Amino acid sequence: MPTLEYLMYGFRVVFIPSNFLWLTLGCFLGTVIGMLPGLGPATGIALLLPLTFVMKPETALITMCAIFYGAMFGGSRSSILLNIPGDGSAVASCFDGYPMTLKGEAEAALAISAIASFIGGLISSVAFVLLALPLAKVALMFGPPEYFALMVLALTATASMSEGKILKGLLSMVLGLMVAMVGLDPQSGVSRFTFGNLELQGGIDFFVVIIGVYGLGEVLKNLEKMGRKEVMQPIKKKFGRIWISKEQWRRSIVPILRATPVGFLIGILPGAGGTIAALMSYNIEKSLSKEPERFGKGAIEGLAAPEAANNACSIGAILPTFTLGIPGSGTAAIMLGALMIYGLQPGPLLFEFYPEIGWGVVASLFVGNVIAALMNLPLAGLLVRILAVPPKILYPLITALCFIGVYAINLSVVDFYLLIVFGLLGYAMRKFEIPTAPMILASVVGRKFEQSFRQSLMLSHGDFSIFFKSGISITLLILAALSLIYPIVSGALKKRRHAI
Amino acid sequence: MIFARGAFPAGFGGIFVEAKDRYLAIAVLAFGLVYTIAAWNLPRAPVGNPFGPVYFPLGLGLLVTIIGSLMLLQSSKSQVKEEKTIGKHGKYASRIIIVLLLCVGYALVFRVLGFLISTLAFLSAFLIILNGLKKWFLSVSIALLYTLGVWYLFEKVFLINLP
Repeated sequence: MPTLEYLMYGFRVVFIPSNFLWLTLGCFLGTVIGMLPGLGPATGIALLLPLTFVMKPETALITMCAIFYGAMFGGSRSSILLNIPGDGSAVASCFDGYPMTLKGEAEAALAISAIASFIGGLISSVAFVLLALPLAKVALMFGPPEYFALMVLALTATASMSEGKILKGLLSMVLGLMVAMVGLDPQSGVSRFTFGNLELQGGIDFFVVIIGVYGLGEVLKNLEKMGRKEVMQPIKKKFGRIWISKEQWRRSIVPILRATPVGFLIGILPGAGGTIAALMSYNIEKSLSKEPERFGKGAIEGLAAPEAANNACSIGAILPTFTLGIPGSGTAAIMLGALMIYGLQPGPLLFEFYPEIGWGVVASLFVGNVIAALMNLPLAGLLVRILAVPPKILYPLITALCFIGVYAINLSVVDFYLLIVFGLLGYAMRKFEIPTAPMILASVVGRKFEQSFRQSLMLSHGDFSIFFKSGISITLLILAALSLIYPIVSGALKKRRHAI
Repeated sequence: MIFARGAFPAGFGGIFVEAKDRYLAIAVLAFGLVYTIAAWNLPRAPVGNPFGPVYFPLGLGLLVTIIGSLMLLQSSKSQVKEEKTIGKHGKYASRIIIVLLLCVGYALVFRVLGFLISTLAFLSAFLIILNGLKKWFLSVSIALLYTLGVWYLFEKVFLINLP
C-alpha cells in the first residue's frame, strides 16, 4: 500500500531533530496559548508567524499544526478550572468541566479532556491519511470555473454558519474580499484602491490583517474587559494523580468515538469550526443520554465528547487546506497563507512534488498528538500556573509582539499603520458582533477567487454561463445557495414554532 | 438545528442593543454606496476586457449596499430599546483611545529612535497605564527584559535586522 510507505517517509521527516524539536515546542506554545483566555489558535499562529519565516517550509507547517491542536488541548484547561473558555471551541467544555471541578473531580476532568482530545486527534489523523490522496485527486479535475464555485461555497458557508448571523457574516466576508482588491491588478496592471500610495500597490498583506484582527483587536477587546472587577477564583494548584477511574472511562469511551467523526466532518466543511463541532457533539450526547439531567452538573461524558470533537475538527480543517487549497476554518486559512508565502500550491502536486511537506505534516499529526497528550497529563498542574500571569502584564507584551511580527514580514513601517487600522476594525467587529473568520478567509483566498472568476470568463470569452456548464460547479453553486437559504428557513421555522 | 443557538453563556455579547445595529446598518449602506461609485470609477483595463478589473469590486460594492439595506430593514422591524449600559463603557473607551494613540506614536518613532528605545518606551508606557504609576519599577524592568529578549532573538537567532 503506497500510502503506508509515504507515511513512513513522513515519520522519518518528523523525527529529524530540528523538526521534532519544533513540533514539541509548537505543542507547548499551542497549549499555553490555548489556555490563556482570549487567545485562540488563530491568534497564536498569527503571533508566532515571524518565528516560522526562518524555518524550512515543512518545519514551519509542522509547527503551525502543532500550535493548532496544542491550543485545542490547552483551551479546555481554563474552562475546566475557572469556567473561562480559553477559546471559542472550549466553550462546551465549561458546561460539565467546571461542575466537575466544583465537585472535586478536577483531576479526572483534566485527564479525560486530554485523553478524549488524544483519541479524537488520533482517529482523525488516520482518516486524514486515508482521505488526503483521493481528495487531492478530485482537485485535479478542477478548472477555473470549478475553483470559483468551490470558493463561493467555502465563503458563503463560512459566512452563513459562523455565528448564526448571516448578514453580518456576509458583510465580514465582503470586507475581506475588499481588502484583497487593494493593489495592482495582476491581470491588467490597473491600480485599485491604493489612493496613490506606492506602498499599497503591492496589496495588503493578509498577515497584517490577521495579526491586526486576531492579535491587536483581541488585545483591545480584552483591555475593555480588564476594567471590570472580575472575581477571579483562586486557581487550584495542587493536584492529585491526574487520571480517571474505570467507571469514568466506561462512561466516556462511546461518546468520544461518536464525537470524533462529527468533529472531523464539521472540520472538513468550510465555515463551521471547533465551536460548532464541540457544541453539536455536546448536544448529541445530551439527547442520546439515558440520564440527560446529569448534564451540566459534572457528567464526564459531557466533557469527553466536545473535547474529542474539537480536536477532530482541527485536524479535519487541515485536510481541505492541504488538498484543495480551501481552508476549513479561520486558523486553517492562516496556514494556507503560510503555504502561499512559501510559494507552494496546495493540492495534489503538493503531495507529489514536496512529499516531505505533505507527508511530513501528516505524520506530525500522529506524533504531535502523542506529545501534546503527554504534556497535558502529567504537566497539567504546572502548565495551569501560567494562567496566573496577570493580563495587565500579558497584553502589553502581546501588543509589542504584534508590531514586531508585522515588521518582520515586510520590514516596512507602513504596515504598522495598517496593523492599527485592522486592529481597530477587529475590535469594532467584536463590538458589533460581526464574526471575524469569514473576513480572514476571504482576505487570504480573495485574489485567487477573483483570478478564477476572470480566468473562467476569459475561457468563455465573457460568457457567464461557463459557471453552469460542468456538473461539479453546478453542484457546488447549488450547495452554496443552500448554505445561505438554510439558516434563513430554519430561523423562520423556529420562529413559527415559538409563535405557536 | 442540532446545536442550540442559546448554548453560549449569557453575557457573551448582548451588551449591544438594536439602536447600535441601526447605526451599523446605515454605516454599511453608506459605505456600500461609496464603494460602488469608487469601483465604477476605477480605470478600465488598457488590454483585454476593459471591464476585467471592475467586475469584482463593483459586485462587492453592490453586495455591501444590499447587505446594508437588508440590515436596515431588519433593524427597523425590531423595536428599538435603549439600554443604560452604554454609558458604562465610556470609561474603557478612553483607555482604548490612549492605547491606540500610543500605538500610532510607536509607529511614528520606530524608525527614528530605533527598535530598542522606541519599544522600551512603548512597553513601559503601556504597562504603567495598566498597572498604575506606583508599580513603575516593575513595569520598566519587564519592558526592558522583554525588549532585550526580543531584540536578541530577532537579531542573533533569526537574523532579521531591526532598526
